[in-house]
Amino acid sequence: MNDVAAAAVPTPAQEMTTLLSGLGASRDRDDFGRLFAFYAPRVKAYLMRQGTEATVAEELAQEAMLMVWQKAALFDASKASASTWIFTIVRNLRIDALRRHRPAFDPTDPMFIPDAPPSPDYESEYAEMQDRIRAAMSELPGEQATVIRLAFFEDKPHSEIAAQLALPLGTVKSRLRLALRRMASVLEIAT
Amino acid sequence: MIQRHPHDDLLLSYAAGSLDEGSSLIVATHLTFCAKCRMDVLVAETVGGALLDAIAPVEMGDAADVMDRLDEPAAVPSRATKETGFPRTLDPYLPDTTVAWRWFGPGLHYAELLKKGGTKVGLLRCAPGAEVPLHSHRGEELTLVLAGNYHDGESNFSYGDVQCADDTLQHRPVAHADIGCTVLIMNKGNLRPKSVVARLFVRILGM
Ligand SMILES: [Zn+2]
Repeated sequence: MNDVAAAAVPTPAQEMTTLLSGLGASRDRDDFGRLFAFYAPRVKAYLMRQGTEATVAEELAQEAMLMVWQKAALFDASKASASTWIFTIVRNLRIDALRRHRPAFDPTDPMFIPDAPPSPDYESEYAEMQDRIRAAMSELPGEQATVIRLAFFEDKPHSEIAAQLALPLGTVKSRLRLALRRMASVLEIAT
Repeated sequence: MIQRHPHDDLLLSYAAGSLDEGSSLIVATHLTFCAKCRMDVLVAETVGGALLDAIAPVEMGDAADVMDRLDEPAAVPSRATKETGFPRTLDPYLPDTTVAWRWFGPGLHYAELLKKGGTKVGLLRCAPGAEVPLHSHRGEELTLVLAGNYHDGESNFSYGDVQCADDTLQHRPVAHADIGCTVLIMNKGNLRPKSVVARLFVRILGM
């Protein structure tokens, strides 16, 4: 099984989401210890997979977990799972560490246009959404799963991914587009 | 109602964290306006989360060092906002006071926000009916409408819309006849002008 399909299988991560949801209020160090034990070795592995050297990856993993503790009160399980939320923290921390910039929108911007109220034919509960997205991930054709994996792990422009796979750039882009479309479309509830 | 969105491969790379700064600035500004694309980015981040929890864990020191630091005060990011009339995503790239527009062509003014590697991002303000000379692209070009609208001979682009152009597209955008337009524009590589006037234009633009 390739790792994109493997990632689709539910894991103890669901339990971690429950732990993290309570952490902002409880400030329970034992709960934090359990989150650390689960995520820190994975965050480090993820960073190493992206080419970060082991000692740097370890330090970044520690920083990421400290941020998890500091920002726990902001975590909202109706909008993300623990894994998704921690993924975004790690992504941003790594970009900062590389002295790069990743502009992000500001929901308090006066020009921000909020979401429309959830439509009844569109999935709005994150836990349910996540199950559907994972199911769709497991069913991606191999060639789409490959470009998805490279997009997340290789930190390269699409042109370099295309060169690595000896494919035209347009093919790589269209596989990425098809993969995201397929995963996003499962959130629309068939009527 | 936004009709034209950044291509999904851009949203995916933005979520993965591998998209370059210039393209990310266009995407992030569009996300300020577009709930649909925010949802697509969340889907892609969910993929990132799933890959994170499925990865084989590696040997990691224990939590003691971090546990010792839990009482440290968290660093509060300073986020001084500016009153520029533009989305806040542009704040870090804009001067504190007024935008320094420079003329570059009949009815056109440009203010550069970012220049890095072969990528440039800037604001282009087009007077009513102003025309950007016919050009094609060596690299990618992303255009986000911030005010007014324009027509490129095929489609109309209005507030919040993003046009993605690559080296196959040749276009000659024309600003709306009554209200003109202001766009955030990112391009990589050099524009390929199609006429003498356009070559002059490109030289003035320094593109
Ligand atoms: Zn959009």
